[in-house]
Amino acid sequence: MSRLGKALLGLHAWGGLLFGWLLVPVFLAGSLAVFEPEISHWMRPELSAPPFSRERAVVLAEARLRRVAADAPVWRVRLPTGREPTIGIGWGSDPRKMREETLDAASGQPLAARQTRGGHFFTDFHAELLAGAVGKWVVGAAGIVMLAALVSGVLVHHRILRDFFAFRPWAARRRAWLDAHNLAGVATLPFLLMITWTGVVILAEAFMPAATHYLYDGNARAARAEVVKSFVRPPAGEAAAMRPLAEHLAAAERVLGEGTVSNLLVRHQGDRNALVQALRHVDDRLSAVADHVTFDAVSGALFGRQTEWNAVAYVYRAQVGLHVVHFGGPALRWLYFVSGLLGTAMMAAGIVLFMRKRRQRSAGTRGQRWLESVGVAAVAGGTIACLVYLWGGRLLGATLVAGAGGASWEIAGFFAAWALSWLHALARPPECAWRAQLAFAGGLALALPGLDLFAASQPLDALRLGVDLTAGVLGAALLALAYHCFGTSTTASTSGAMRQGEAL
Amino acid sequence: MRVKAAASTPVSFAPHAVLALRIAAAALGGYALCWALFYLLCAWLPFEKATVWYLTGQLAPLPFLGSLLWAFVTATPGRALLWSLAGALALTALGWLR
Repeated sequence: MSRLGKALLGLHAWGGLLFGWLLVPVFLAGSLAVFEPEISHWMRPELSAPPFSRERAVVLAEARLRRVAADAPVWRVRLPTGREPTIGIGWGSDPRKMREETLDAASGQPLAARQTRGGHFFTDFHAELLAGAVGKWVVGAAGIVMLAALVSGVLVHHRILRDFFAFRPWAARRRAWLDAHNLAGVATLPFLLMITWTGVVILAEAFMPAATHYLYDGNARAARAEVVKSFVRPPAGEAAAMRPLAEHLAAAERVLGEGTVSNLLVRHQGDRNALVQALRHVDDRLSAVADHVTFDAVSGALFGRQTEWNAVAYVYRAQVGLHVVHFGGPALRWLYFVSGLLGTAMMAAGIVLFMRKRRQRSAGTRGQRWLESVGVAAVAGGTIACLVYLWGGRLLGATLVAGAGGASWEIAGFFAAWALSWLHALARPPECAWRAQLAFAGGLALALPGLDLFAASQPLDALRLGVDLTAGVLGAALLALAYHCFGTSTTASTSGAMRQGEAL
Repeated sequence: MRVKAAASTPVSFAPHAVLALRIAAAALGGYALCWALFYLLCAWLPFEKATVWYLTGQLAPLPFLGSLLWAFVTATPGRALLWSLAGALALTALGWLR
């Protein structure tokens, strides 16, 4: 191989390994985040999914707000959807800091749902590792290395098409892992390039604020404010009755499209200058820009509307839309989910491959032991941690989670499970640790539907059933992986090969 | 034979210290190059501010990716950093001319 080829292979192998430890859990969490509303619904089994009417829902929301927040200047209503079949209301004096309540979409009754981060936890972990700006830097750096690993992987892979059709699961172990790595990598290459590029673009402002400093003195919000129009005015200081929200909803949908309004925001509620803003959903368009329209809340006159966008901002938001996949419906969401899991599997296979190769020279050394344990913890431990989070949310729900700050217990469980997985991997031989942890993860996933049926207070609905079935299938796949790829015969043969110093 | 050749991936072609230096060179060089490119674009592009701001955001991965690949294909980490910084300096100078 040429010097250039070796250099690129070094970047692919070392970059892939060092950042793969982080990228595997980030990708896994990102794949789960595709179904964030469904997971959130599954984690709050107190919620039902009744048939609802949006027009009726807005009437119910307004009635509840008049009862509990008559004096609050700001109201917000989130209308129910098929993926989130509840009404969300909020009130306070600042649109960014509001008291919130969840209502039944059919009856309008407040629901005493447990406090949980739900599926949003996976989105936060995926985007910033729950570490704010620092996490965005780390994930952004990992994304750039991922792009470089993909590019270098393609450049060093001379027979990319031929190897795509060459999966030999019964060949020598390392050959099979390499085939699996190549197959998953080639099959998902366009997806991986797209999702990684758009991910880095989304995080770019966090780690590269040069343009913000040059153009806006470091205030990124000012840049967005130039593009997203804001139709506001000060309160008049005179009381006046607002027209019903249902009328504003109907008027907004005449402008934005039938059935497209997702949220209503009322400013200066009860004042003569009150305004009602209606925001359009982004579920049917590639670019994640929310058209919006604002009405005088008292007279119902149109106050302002935005349905035209800066072209470059629209392209930027199209990349955001490509990443967060709110468009395209269930089929595309499933494609993203499966592609994300395949990408995770590709990186995991790369980590296993690297370790098996390195074992030939360094088996038994302290460095190898640490590398192996981190690899097991990143892949199998990350999977266990995600499942423990789901289990924790449901098991702790009735007791601990119901109180203030309860959601932190779920997250503590996530990290505790991850730490224990790493300690286990340090204490056990690598193949045993892989097998035990993947089997444990498989067991946790397989038992998840049972937990749901046993611990739910509402009858099973389609959203929860979807999560249950997916968990069951993934659990079976994890068990098969544990026993086929890290089974006892594999361990014996691998140990034997290591003793003899054979290259697999 | 061909199968064996394809499977033999060199996993430690360079000492760990050189590897760390290459990563550092890529990170520093990429950051400098990206900052300089943004400065140049902000200074010269004749569009409204928000347009330039959104455009630069979409280009951010390019300098980093280029710098990272460059840091690994060039002979030494020092040379990788030097060329990236030289490129950044040239872009900054061009931007400063405005």
